[in-house]
Amino acid sequence: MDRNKFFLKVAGIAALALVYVMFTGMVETFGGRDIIANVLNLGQILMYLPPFIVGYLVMRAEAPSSTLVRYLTSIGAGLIANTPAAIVALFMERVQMRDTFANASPNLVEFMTLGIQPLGVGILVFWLMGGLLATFGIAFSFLPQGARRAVITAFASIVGLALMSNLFGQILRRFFGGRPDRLLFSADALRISTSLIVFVFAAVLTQYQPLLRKQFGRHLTSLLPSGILESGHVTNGLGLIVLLALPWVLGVFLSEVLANVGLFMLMALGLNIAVGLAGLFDLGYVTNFAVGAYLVGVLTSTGPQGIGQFNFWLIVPISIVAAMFTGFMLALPVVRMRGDYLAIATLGFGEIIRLLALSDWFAPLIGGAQGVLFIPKPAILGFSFQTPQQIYYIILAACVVVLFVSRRLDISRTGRQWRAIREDEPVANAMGIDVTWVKTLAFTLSAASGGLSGAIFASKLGTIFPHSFQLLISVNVLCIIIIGGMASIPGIAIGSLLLVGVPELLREFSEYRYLFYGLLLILMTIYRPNGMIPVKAQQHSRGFGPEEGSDAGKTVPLPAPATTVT
Amino acid sequence: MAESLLTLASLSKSFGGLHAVKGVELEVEKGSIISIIGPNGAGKTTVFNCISGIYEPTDGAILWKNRSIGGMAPDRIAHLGIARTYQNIRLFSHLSVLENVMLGQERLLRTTWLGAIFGTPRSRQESGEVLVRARDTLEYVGLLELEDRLANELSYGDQRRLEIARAIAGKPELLLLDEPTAGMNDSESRSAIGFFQQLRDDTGITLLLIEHDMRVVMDLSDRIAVLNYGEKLAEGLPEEIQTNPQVIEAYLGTSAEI
Amino acid sequence: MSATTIPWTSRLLRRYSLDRLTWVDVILGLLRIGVILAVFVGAFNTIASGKYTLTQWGSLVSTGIAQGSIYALIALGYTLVYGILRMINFAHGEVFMSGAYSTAFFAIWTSRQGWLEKNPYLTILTWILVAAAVSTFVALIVERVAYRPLRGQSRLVTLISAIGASFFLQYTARSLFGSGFTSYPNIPILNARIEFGPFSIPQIQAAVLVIALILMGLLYWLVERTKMGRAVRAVSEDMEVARLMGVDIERVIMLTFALGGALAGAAGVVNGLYKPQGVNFFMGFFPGIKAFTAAVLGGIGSVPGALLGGLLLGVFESVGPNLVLNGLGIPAANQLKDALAYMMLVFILIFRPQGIMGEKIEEEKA
Repeated sequence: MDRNKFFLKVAGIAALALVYVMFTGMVETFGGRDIIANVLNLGQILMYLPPFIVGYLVMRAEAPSSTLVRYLTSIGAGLIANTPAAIVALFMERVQMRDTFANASPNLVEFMTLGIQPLGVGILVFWLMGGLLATFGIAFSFLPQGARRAVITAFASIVGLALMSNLFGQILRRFFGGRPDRLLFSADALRISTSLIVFVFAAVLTQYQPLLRKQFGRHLTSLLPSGILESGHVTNGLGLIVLLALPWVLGVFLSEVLANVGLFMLMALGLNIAVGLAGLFDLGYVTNFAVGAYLVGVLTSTGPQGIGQFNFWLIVPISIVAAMFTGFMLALPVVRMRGDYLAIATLGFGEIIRLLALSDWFAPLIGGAQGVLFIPKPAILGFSFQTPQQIYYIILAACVVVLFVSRRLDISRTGRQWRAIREDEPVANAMGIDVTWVKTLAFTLSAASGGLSGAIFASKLGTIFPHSFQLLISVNVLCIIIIGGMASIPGIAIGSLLLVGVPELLREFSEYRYLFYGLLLILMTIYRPNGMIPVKAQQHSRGFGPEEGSDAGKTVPLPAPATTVT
Repeated sequence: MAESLLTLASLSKSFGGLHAVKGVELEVEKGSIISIIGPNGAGKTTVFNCISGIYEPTDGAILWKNRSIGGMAPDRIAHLGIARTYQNIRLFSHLSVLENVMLGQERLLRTTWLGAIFGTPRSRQESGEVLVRARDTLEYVGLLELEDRLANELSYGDQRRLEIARAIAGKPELLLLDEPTAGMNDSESRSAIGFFQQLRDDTGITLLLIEHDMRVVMDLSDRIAVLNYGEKLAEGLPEEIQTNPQVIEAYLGTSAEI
Repeated sequence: MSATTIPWTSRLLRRYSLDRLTWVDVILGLLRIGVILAVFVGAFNTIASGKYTLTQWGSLVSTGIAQGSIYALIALGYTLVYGILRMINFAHGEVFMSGAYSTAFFAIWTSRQGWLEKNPYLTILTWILVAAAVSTFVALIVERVAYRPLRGQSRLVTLISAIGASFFLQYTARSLFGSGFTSYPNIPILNARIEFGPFSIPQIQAAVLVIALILMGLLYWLVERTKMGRAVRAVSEDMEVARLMGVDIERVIMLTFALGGALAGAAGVVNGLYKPQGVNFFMGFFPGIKAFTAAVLGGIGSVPGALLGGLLLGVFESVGPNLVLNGLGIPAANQLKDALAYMMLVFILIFRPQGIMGEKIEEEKA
């Protein structure tokens, strides 16, 4: 690219990004979260990163010009990146921006200028900082590639660790009693000493990672009987033990988070049948969730809306069947539609159901806006699942069952038919696949675990309102699948943790949750259309034929499939 | 006269006012190889699309073993034992080679989603059979060592072969081949001729093909039908077609392919 | 070998395409009959009961037309983009919101400066211009960031990106302007009513319709009469041919996004005049979906279709609950106004995806 154009483009984007994070309040909100105690907070990182990256990128761009010119343009780009923000900050107090932009506060200016007074000097410092950071970026570009990677990884580890301080702190406290976390963390941020250790450790680990992996791998495989790792039983077994032990390790609060992650994962596993396996974009998945929740709500509640006060376990199968029936009925009208129309139509269904639940028409039955109250916790033979830890096990069991079923379907003829219609519907039809039926089936089966998830949700929460069944639930579940990786079970697990678990641990940033979801959706479709953990096409091929497992070692290494989302 | 497998009786298909196919008659006997030739836009592929159920004929009938199948849905037609390939190869390009061939066997399969979930002995057995049959078919066409590749990673020639493998994996009685040697060089199309003859001898399959390459048509076909402007111009043995003055004028005369 | 060998029964059966009739067709057919029946029974009951006077019906219709013309303005954005790229610009509702929300602050400011009192019409015109500028900017950014890198990919891929853009814009607006509600200033001159015969129409409703018609006329002139418009039409007719003829496709795409954005921004102001309250970050999402419904109803890709679809949807949404749902004995029918609109969306997508003005999409060639 033309160097001048590149230089302006990069600086312009950075400037825009900087003004964006200022006005959306990110700088200030994130500034409240220290990463390294009293040294660095997240807001500063956000503010200092753009000019730094600009300096680095411009320096690295191919250029015929002399070194001095390259230095100067890089520094200039850093200054340009900071210019609009500086101008805005200068005028922020003269023009009453606050009436419009909720975050254009004096605090923001103070944060930007590091509290330096008078204002003019402070802003000048901020502006010059752009050049300084760009210089750092230039310096960074001189590091060898390995070192750059090590620094980035080490830095990311520090940020990650600091953001998850809550998680680690609680686990440490549970294990050792007292406040061992205070050794590492100081009020949610890493201590300077800890961050130094983390930095060195992570950097070294990145440098020697290939070597370590080889050494470690050799020892591990020599310890174990040959072939046992490939079969997957060991990893599955270990994984299950870890999952069973988790509530005990995590404690009440984190188990609650985990239970929510599980509920969403349950839904994602179900929706994955329609979206991931069959390629049907269902934007109204919340419907099934609502059906399950309301059935359990109304039929087990001890409150005024309750009918029959049945046992939870009796209603669960009914709500699954009811959700499947709903899925089937809603599938009928839409299976003939084109992909994008189908998505919009299902979105319409989701809204219709919510509006009906909210309406006076159905209020006598399901409580309207008042919702259903007094839903008892699941109980069996005198044992009641009260705590989040206990309910976690119900959710875990449900996830395992759904996982098992969807895996079976995935490798069977049915899964193959779904993949075929996802790839090329007319050809699949001409191969002898009843497209209408196969699609309807995908919707119906996918609805089941939505119903199950809703049933557990109602019982876990004790009250349900139409408000709990917003479009955002469908979008959330869809994001898990797309960002994790369509049809990829590990992808869905990671997606649920990342999109449901992490936001619950970072409640202070909750107002930016869906902003980041949106951004992630765009970035993923452009740069990683197969999600974080893409599925390999080869693994379906064999189904549960007689040779399953036995020839797993035989498969030839293949070039990475260049698949795209369909 | 051998048993008639497929009969087209005054088959017509029009789109709006455009008559793509007009009153075409054709008799396909069991075990024969029949070619449909004709200039571009003569309605050959439309005939195929009518037979395989993608289009609903506007008029006339398609008889399969003396039973009318005109306008039946494509999946039901596939289940009767009519398989096809496409002029511009249409594989399931992001699925593996093996899985493509497995998908060709739909008409032989009976297990359902319930069997899959519960892993019934019957579904396990069928699943094993599908795999064996898929591998056998791949071996027959010589693609076995590529079974784990994605379909779109194959070379053009291999993709053609895979499409044929997918079509014959379901053991159809009639195979519709839409320009199977398009884009092949001389030696490749010669080996394709050998392959189709071998296939007929091995399985007794009936072949109906659309073809442009006159050498392939003359060497391979038992009978040839010529379409022009949607109508059948002539039908007969290869020698008869070669010497038919109408055909020469309408088709051979205007085409540089011979 | 001739046609006479075919049994006449199969000929008859084929004539009615029974071979292609599946269980889904049967169920959908029953559904269609059910819907028509419900509409007729509901409408008959309501009219027979004489619950509403002619004047009331009149005001329901005029409310519907006003709301419908706002839908129509937004719908044009969907239609223009669809005509060129054959994709649903899911984030278009948010383009509308951006203009409407940001201009609300500008409008409040102009009102405080006293402009509104001194020169109301000119002030409203500046609102429209500001909103159109903001929305155009947002539409172009969305196109550049979320759609252009995905050019040529399947519709569903673009749809995912569009959903992402939609949420990104919503929550950006929320972060910028806060999560509360704001409102447009009240405009006294539009509060009068126009009377004719038994009907009395608020002047604002007439104004909404007039502004919408003027803007649409402007668009129609742009598309049909200018050189720029000819390029747009050429691309929507056949992109490849247009490219060969030397039309700059990327510029035409940007132009359609800009036009759609400008109209959506204007719609934001019109909406603010009509319903001053309820301006917040989520105000675009559902109107966007309804406008999409209107676009499909009118025949997506067709400019007059968008107007027709918008007006029909608006009137249906306004009259429907009282006419149909009331007659079916459903309590508080007006709560289900939105549900009715979405049902209409679903039914249109099932039974007539090509819309009123659209042509039937050709059978897909295998």
